[in-house]
Amino acid sequence: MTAAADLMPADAGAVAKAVAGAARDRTSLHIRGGATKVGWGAPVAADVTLSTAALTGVVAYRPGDFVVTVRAGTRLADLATALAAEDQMLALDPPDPDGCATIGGVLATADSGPLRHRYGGPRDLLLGVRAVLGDGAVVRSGSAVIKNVAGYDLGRLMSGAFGTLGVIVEATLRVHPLPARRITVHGATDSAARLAAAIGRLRRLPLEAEALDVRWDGDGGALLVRCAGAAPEERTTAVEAALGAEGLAVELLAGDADAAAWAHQRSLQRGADGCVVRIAAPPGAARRVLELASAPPGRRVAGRAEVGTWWLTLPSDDEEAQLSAIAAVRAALPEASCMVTDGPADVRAVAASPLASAAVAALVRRLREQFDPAGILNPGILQAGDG
Amino acid sequence: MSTVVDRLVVRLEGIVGRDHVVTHPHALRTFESDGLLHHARVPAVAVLPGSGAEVHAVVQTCVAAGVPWVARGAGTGLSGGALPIEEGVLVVTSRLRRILDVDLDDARVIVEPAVTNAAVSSAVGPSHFYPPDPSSQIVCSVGGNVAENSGGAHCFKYGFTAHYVTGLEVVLGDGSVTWLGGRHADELGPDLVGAFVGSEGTLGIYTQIVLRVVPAPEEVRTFVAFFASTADAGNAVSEIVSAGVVPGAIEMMDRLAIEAAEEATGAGYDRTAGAALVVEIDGPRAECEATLTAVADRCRESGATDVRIAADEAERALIWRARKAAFAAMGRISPAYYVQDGVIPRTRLAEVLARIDELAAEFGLRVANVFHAGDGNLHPLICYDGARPGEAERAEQLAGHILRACIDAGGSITGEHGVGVDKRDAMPWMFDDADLAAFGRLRRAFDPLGLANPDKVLPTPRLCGEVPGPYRAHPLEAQGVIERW
Repeated sequence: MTAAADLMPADAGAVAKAVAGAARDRTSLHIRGGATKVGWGAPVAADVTLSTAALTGVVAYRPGDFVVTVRAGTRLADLATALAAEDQMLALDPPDPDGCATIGGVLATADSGPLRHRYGGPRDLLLGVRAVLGDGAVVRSGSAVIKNVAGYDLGRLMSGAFGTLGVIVEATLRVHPLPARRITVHGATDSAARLAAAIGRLRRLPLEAEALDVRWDGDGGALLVRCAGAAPEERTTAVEAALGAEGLAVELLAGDADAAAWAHQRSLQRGADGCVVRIAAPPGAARRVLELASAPPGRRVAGRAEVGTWWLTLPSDDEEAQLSAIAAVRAALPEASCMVTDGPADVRAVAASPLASAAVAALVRRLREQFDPAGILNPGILQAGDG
Repeated sequence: MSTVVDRLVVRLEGIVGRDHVVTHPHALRTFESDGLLHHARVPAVAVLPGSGAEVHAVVQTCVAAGVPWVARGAGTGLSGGALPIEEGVLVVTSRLRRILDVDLDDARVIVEPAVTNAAVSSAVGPSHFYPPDPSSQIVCSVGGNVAENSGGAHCFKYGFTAHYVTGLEVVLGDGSVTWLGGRHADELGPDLVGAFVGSEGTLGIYTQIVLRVVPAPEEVRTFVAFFASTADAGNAVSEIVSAGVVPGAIEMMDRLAIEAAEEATGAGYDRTAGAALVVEIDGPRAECEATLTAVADRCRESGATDVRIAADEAERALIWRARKAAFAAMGRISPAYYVQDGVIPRTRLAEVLARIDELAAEFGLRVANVFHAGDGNLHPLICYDGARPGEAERAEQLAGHILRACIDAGGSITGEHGVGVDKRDAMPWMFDDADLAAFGRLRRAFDPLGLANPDKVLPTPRLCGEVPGPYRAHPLEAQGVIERW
């Protein structure tokens, strides 16, 4: 865990004042929420840290409309408790072992977990956003209704921008009903090829699964398919048959066993001492991703097979080896979007940028000039020299 | 014609060939409006590029000449987003209609912008489909859908166009070409694709669009339930969704809309009912059956006077025919109508409908309500007679008041038709100066020269020669090819 932040404003107005002051003085700011993902992207060389962790609380919650508005520093775990009282959930389940991850941090990093499969990622669930731009302007886009096409979608733009286009201070999100029942089919195998073939079988089934995850860890791997709703058995039977046909060892998990299996799966998205490459690939690349994870030894991967979102952990190694491994991963998946989340600072400084091309980098630079003209918000986290 | 335009025409002809540059004033009138017919302007020149490379060269030519340009797809938009600029170039995408790739392993389809919405589902069926289904889907273009972030009847469950676009090859406002996103979902870094979807042609133009498609549902079940009042029907919707059910579609019609639809189709809807609810449940078979029973029971518990579950495809088609005919059918009970597009929090439905009734009485006009009840997207149809002096203007005023009522209830000025020119001046009702300035900043990053569809979306003083007026039927609508919701 990192040291306490220098600035911890208590409301949006105070954030605006702090940011405007920093812009005037050309003081660069390292923006953070719960500080659970500060090691993501390239290292930020900032003068001062600004935390949104004091911006807490639900602003408005209308269960009947499936919409909740929260301040950005609200913890995901606290929001989940509030929503569960109404049998609802925010369908965002990134790993959050300490319960410190905040809504703002999850949005800014576009983090997600297994529920991404059914419900979309943060950018898909975000209906409206309030943010402080780099000159201190407090702006809002979107609305508090599920359907709205008035104005540009600043929320989507800021989701994944790692705070470089504004400090998110409030978010309006779509929530979903908690399913009546959940059953997970867990299929294990020691063959990466069988795992890939099983994914191919599932792809054509109209399952409407709540989650469909894969992992490869050391000598073996697994496919996890969670069916939810009023009558999930028919589908779990179909999934069991499909996985069995590929020779996977199948078991059904419900209740605590279901929760434990998914908690373990989510934990694989973080690398305690390794280096994690976050990959967004086309769904058809699953086989290649599994091949990359199964050799050389010491690697592991977890991800959403049908979305194409993966977390590939490379073993702790010397930095040269990690850099060449990252380059090899990018070369093997030329059509994918990659960035380094977790890993040695020197590796992240060289290899972290997710921006796909020089043209995209130029466009992001122009957005930075508009939204953060002084270049003070998390400078360098997405691309070197943009501060 | 001015020498600037003359020179531009020569350059454009050099790019696309003389046959694909339109300069004759009569021919140009074809393009004077999109689906919002009470705005009309003739562009200086229209150009129909035949490839992405030609689009790129056309935009670069406009940039070099400092001339504004507007992109147009099928022209079915309902907010004037494709309204030409008199001194500008209209870039018509209609020749770009190739499906470039269908890959069901990746669940992706790559199309050029003028491919129709319905053609995407046709290309991947019957195993897969493309969920966004605006009512004009057999003619509207994917490029236009991306520009407007189109929805449709099934978006409460399936989401909007923004949820299905993973990549765009774009020509930005400064004439540069770039790929944003690709075949993968969840591009890392700022969501540039997401910023582009719904930007109404103001950030640039697409030359290739990557769409995600999904497996077709195993089962689809449909029923219609009748209620004494819209309040009862609204309560039923609340009961259904608060039970955790997410139907494929929930559509509501009020008494006047039922009456019009019955006049047109004779589908057997109960004319004495105060409201009808069309509910469609889709998904895995067992889930679908269990849900259908539960939802039908909820309707009965909420006071449904009758629940008719379609037993087969023919009965299902009949239920939908009445619902889909509701707009076109208004012509049978009113000489003209004005359609509004607003959104409210669904839980405030009863109160907003009561307010609309009040306003209708105040203005002495009838308003029929047809709407996507799951997501609170209202489409009030304001009936009027253009032959009666002042009535058309009253209808337009009433439409504005209804929009205000949506905002007062915490909603939005548009759920799926877009802002375009039509609702530019309503943007300050929803957004303050700082918000609008931030929108301007976003726009400048993509279009630093301000040449891409410059007078749309954000409020500007009304231009000369722009005459607001009442609704007229789009030719395609008059032919019954498309609908207006």
